Amino acid sequence: MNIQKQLAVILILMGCMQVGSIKAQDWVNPNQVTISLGSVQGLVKDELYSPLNYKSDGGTLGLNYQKLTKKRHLFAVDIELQTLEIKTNVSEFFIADQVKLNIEIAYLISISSSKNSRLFVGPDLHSNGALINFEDDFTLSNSGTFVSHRGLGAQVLHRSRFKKNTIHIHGKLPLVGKVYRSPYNLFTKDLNDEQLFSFLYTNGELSTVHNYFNPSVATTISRPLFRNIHFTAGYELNYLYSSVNKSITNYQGRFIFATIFKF
Amino acid sequence: MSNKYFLFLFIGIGVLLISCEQVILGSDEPNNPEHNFEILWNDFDKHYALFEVKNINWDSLYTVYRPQVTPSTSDDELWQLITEMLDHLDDEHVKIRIQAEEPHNYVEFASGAEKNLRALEEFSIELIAGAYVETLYQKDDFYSYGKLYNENIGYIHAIAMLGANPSSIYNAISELGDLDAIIMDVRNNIGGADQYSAEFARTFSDGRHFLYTVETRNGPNYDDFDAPLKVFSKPHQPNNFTKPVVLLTDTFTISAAEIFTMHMKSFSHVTHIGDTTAGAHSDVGAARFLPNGWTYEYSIMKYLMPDGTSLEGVGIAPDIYKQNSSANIEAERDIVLEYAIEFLNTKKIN
Repeated sequence: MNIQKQLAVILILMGCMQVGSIKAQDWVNPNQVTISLGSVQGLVKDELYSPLNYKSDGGTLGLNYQKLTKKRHLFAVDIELQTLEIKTNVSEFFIADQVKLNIEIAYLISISSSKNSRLFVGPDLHSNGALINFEDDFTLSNSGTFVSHRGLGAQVLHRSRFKKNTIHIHGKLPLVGKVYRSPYNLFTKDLNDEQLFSFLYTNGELSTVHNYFNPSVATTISRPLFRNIHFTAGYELNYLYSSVNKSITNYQGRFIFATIFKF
Repeated sequence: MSNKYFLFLFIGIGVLLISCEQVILGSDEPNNPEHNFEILWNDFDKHYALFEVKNINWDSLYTVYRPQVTPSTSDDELWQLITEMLDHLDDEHVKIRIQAEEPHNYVEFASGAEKNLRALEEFSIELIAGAYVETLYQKDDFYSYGKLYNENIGYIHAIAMLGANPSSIYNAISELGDLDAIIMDVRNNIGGADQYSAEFARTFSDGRHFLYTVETRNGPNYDDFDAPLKVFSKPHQPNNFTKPVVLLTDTFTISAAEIFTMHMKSFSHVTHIGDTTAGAHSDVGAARFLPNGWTYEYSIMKYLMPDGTSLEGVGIAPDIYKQNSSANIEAERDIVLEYAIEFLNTKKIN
C-alpha cells in the first residue's frame, strides 16, 4: 500500500471515530495494555554500510503497559519490533532487511492538569537497536550493520480530551548513554555468530545528543469502542542521526493502529 | 487550531518529509564511470587489509588506471579497467560482480583466480567415486566419505567448509569401521567458515597447538589493525582419529579449506601431500555497493603464521609435493590419491 492510500485509510478511520456513539470511559483508569500494529516508511543512509540512499518500508508491532499511580504519575513499559525492507534506486539486487527493536521503561510525572488535559514529563531508560542485513544465498555475499543505543532519555506527554476522544502528543529524546555501532570494517574475528550478542553489549561509545540525536514525536487519537477497550490511531515521526563510526541517518514515519485494554 | 486538525497536519508533514529524500539524506551518489572508480578505489584504500603484506603500491595503481577512466568510459571498459587493476592484488577474496536482472545470474571476477583454475581439471570426485571408493556416501554438510577398495583406509572429501553439523564427521568415520588410516581430501574445496574448519579438524586433533594470529583492519592507515587474536587447534578428545592421516590439497584448496589445512598440519599423525594451496586466508569482508549496481568485496584481515610471516598469495606448501595432470584424470587415474594410498601402506608396513 502506498503512502497516499495509507493516509486515506487513516483519515477515514479518524472520521469514523468522530461519529461514534460509545460513551468514553474516563482516561484515568489505573492500568492499560496496548497492542499496536503499524506501517512504516522511511529513509536510511548508513555510510558504514553503503554510500547509497535507501528507502525503507515495513511493519511494526508494539506492546505497551501503562499504570497511572495514585499521584497521577505515569509508569510505562514499551516494547516495539519493526521489520522492514530497504532498497535503493540503483538495483533490485541491493534489497536488504532492516530490523529494529526498541525497549523502554518510563516514569512520567504529571506537572500540570486541567479539566480536559494533562501534561507529563519524565525520564526513561531505553534500549534501541537497528540492524541491517544483506544476504545473497547464491553468491554467499553478505553484509550487515547495526546501530544501537542504551541510556537515559526524556519524554513529554500531553493528553487532552475533546468530546469522547483523547489526543496524545508524545515526544521522546535520548539524552545520554552509550551508542553501539558496527566495527570499522563491519566484521571482526570476534564478531561471529556466537559472539554477536556479547559484542553488542561491550563495544559502546559514550553518547549525548551531539553524536546520537534521535528525537521522535507521536500524535495519536483514541476513542472507546467498549467499556474497557479503546481504539487508537496515530502517526509517529522518528529521526536518527549518529556520527559514531561514520554517519547514519534514518528518518521514519509510522502509521499506528492500536487497541487499548483498560483494567 | 483544534487538536484533530493538528493531527492531520502532523501526518501531512511526516509523509511529505519522507518524499524529501535529498533534504533528509543528502544527494544520492551519482552514477558515472569516474565516480564509480573513485568510490571503489577509495574504499579499498581505506579498508583493504593486505597492501602491506602483499607489498602493493595502491597509489601507483591509481596513477595508472584512473586517467584511463573518463566520462565516456563504457560499462564494459570500466569493468575491464577495474578488474585489471584488482588482478594486481592476486587475492581470491577480492571479487567484483555485475548482477543480471534474472536472479542468481551474474558475472564475477575474482582477483588472481585464473592461475588456480587448472586444479579444476586435475581432480574428479566422479573418478574417485567410480574407481577408488567402494561407496561414496554424502552427508548433509558438504562432504562425502567411503572406504577405499581393498584397503582398510577411509576416504573423506570436503567440497566446502560449510554445513550445520561438523561433528557429524565422527559418526561418518565410525560408520566405516575400525580404519587403519584416513585420506582427508580438500582438493577443489571452495572454503567456507573458519569455525567450521576448526570443528571439522577437531576430529583429528592430537592437542591444542598455536596456529596463527588474525588482525582486522580498523582504520584508514594501511597499518591500522586490531590487536592480534591467537588461534589454536581444538584440544584432543578421546574419540578423535589419531591413526595415520594423509591430507590432500591442490591450488584450488581455498580460504577456510586452507585454515583447515593449517589445523591438520599441526597434528603429528597428519602428512600433507599434493599441491600448494591457493593462498587466500583472510575472511571476506562485507559486500560493498556501487552506484552502477555492481557489488564487490575484499579481504579485511591479515593472517600471520607463528613466525610472523603471511602466506597470502603464497599458499601452504605440502610436505610431499604431488600433482595430477588433466591427462591423468582423462586416463582415469588420480596419481595423487594413489600415492597417498601407497604412502599409508608403506607407513603401515614400517
